[in-house]
Order: sequence, then C-alpha cells, then structure tokens
Amino acid sequence: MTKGVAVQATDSTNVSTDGWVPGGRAPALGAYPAGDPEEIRATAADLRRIAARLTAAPRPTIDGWSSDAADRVRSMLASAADTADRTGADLRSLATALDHAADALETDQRAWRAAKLRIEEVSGCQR
Amino acid sequence: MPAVTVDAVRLRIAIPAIEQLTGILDWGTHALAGSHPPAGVPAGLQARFAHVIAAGRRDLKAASHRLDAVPGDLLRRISAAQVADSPVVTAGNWGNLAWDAFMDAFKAAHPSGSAEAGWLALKTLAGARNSGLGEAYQNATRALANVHRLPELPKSVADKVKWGGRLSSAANVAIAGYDNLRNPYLSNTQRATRTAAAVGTSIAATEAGGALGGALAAATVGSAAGPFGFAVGFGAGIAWTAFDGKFHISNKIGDAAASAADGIAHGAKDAVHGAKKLFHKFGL
Repeated sequence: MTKGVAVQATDSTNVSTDGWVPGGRAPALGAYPAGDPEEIRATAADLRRIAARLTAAPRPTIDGWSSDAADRVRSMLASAADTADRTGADLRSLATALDHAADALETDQRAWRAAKLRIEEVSGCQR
Repeated sequence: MPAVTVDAVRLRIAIPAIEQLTGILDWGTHALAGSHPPAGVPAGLQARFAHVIAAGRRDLKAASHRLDAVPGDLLRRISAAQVADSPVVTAGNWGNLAWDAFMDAFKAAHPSGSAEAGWLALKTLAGARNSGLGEAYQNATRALANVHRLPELPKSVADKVKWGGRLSSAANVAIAGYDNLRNPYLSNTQRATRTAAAVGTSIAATEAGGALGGALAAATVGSAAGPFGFAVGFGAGIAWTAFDGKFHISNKIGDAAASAADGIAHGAKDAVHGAKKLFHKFGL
C-alpha cells in the first residue's frame, strides 16, 4: 500500500494517497491501490527482450552425417531449439498479461484519486 | 544397423551454430534469474509469473546441459572421419601406381587370346568412367594392337608378376581391414562384415577378371596360365580396389550383412542403391 504520497488526481490538482475512500452510493474503494504501473510495464519489456533473443536462436542443421548417433544429436538440437521457442512464447504471453495488469492498476489508481479528491472537496465545502 | 557416413567438412560447419544456440540458452537461464514479479499485480498473475519464470529457467538449463557435449563429440567424429578416410586416399594413390605397373607388364609380353579378351573387357570398363563405353573400347583395342609388337615376357619375370595379383588382392583386403578397424563409429558386426565383404569382393573381382581373360588360375590359384593371364588377374584386383574405393561397394555389402545380422534391412537398401549407382555409372 502506498502511503503519504501526493499524486496528481487531475491535470491541475494534487491529492494525497493517504487515507481511505469510503463507499457512498458506490462501493468503498478502500486504500490506495498499491504498485507502480510503469515498473510492471518495464518488467514486461524485459520479458519481451528475453523472449526475442530466445526465439531468434539458430536451429542448427547437421548435414553429411548419417547414423543412429546422428539421429539422436539432431533430435537433441531440435528439442533445444523448440524449448527456446516455447519459453519465448510463454514469456511474451506473460508480458502481455503484465501490460494488461499495469493498465488495470493505472485505471484503479486514477479512479481512487478522483474519488478522494471529490471527498476532500465536499468536506472542504461543509467546513 | 544403417551405414555410418561422416562428411568432416559439413559436420564442422554445424559446430558454431550449436555453440551459439547453447550460448543463448545459457544467457536466457541467467536473464530469467533476475526476474521477480512486480508489486501491484493480482495474486493469480503473480503465481503465473513465478511458474513461467521457474519453468523457463529449468527447461533452458536442461536443454543447454544436454547440448554441452555435442560440439566436442562432433570434433572427435570429424577427427575420426579424417583418420578413417586417409587410408582410402592412400589406397587410391597406390592403386594408380600399381595400375601403371600392370600396364607396363602387360605391354612387355604377348598375351594369350583369352587374356586379351579379359584385358580388353577390364580396360573398356575402366575407361568408360571418363569417355563412355564405345570410346573406351576403341582405346583399349588400339593399346592391344601395340602389344603384339612387343617381345614375350621372360618366364622368370612372369612368375614374379603372377604374385602381383595375389598381392593386389591381399593389399586391398588389408587396407579395407585397417580402415574398418580404425573407424571408431562402426559396430563390431560392421567391422567384421565389411572386412569379410572386402575379402569376398576382391576375390570375386579377380575371378571375374580371370574368367574374362582365362587368367583366374594364374592370378588367384597360381596354376600356369601364362604371364598375361596373371597380368589380367592383377589388373582386375587393382581395378576393383579403385572401384571399391570410389563407391564403397564392399562396405555397403558388409553393412547389408551387418543389418541382416542385427535384424535391420536398411543396409541392404544401401547396398542395392550402391549397386544400381555403379551399374548406372557404367551404363550397364
């Protein structure tokens, strides 16, 4: 949970992430949603970089050698290249999920700040 | 068991790509070690993150580990292939020298009629590799016409030449046996059957030359068939050595036998293919 940080709620207004946003007619938003969307996106970018190198790995071919041992080595090479491809695909899929999570977190944080701002404005008027 | 063939040059080309693949797998393993799930992602995604990273590291490391020994193994096989090939090259050079010696011996005496026919057949077959059967036959006929103008081979020389055919066959077998024994990637069955095939085909080739020229007895059995009968047998041995070195016929026959012994028919297919290739080469 992020505490005591002033973040921009709108283009021109800062709001503290301290405190709790209670529910009125809408459900309570609770504490400020923890996490840094940019950090999540950076992690996703790292995973994509690793995936790109893995999927670009060469697929060695062995010509001019025929025997049972040659068949075994070819099978090992193909399996290793497949492993690199498969891991790369898994990492890309994970990166996409992280990007979606970062977007969702960013949306939640913006909604929280807007709600907090409204509360502060209402309480200011009442005083 | 299928025939074992190794092309050292083409095998060497594959090594850098294998090392590059291994390097990337190792790099991926280390790169994923520094990946941790960031704060703020849902618990389910955190669990998925941990699983994908752990599985990726494990799989990449295992794949790299399996390939660790491959480049070294290929280098050993390349080295072995080069060692195994060198006797064949030596045999080829030796065969050319012996063929020249045979030609000199042949031209130094008068052949019998049957020896002439045998020599003509062998010379035509050998020449057909480069110029076709028709032209090879004409060349052989011209060479034969010159022979009649030469003096007869003395008996003492003829007796010595008689042994040439046997030595030729023995050398062929010895070279094949050495070649097979030095090749570390043949099974014992293949070593035995290939060497046996070399013995059998060498004798068969000498017999064929003898049958064609009436020289079999002089060349392989030693009965008196005249110096030229022997010379034809000698030439048949040399010719077979050269053909076998080029097409590895006895190896394929040997592997076919090994396959039969091992219950696999793959080698027989190779032998048939090799024979077809030979027949096609000579237009037979």
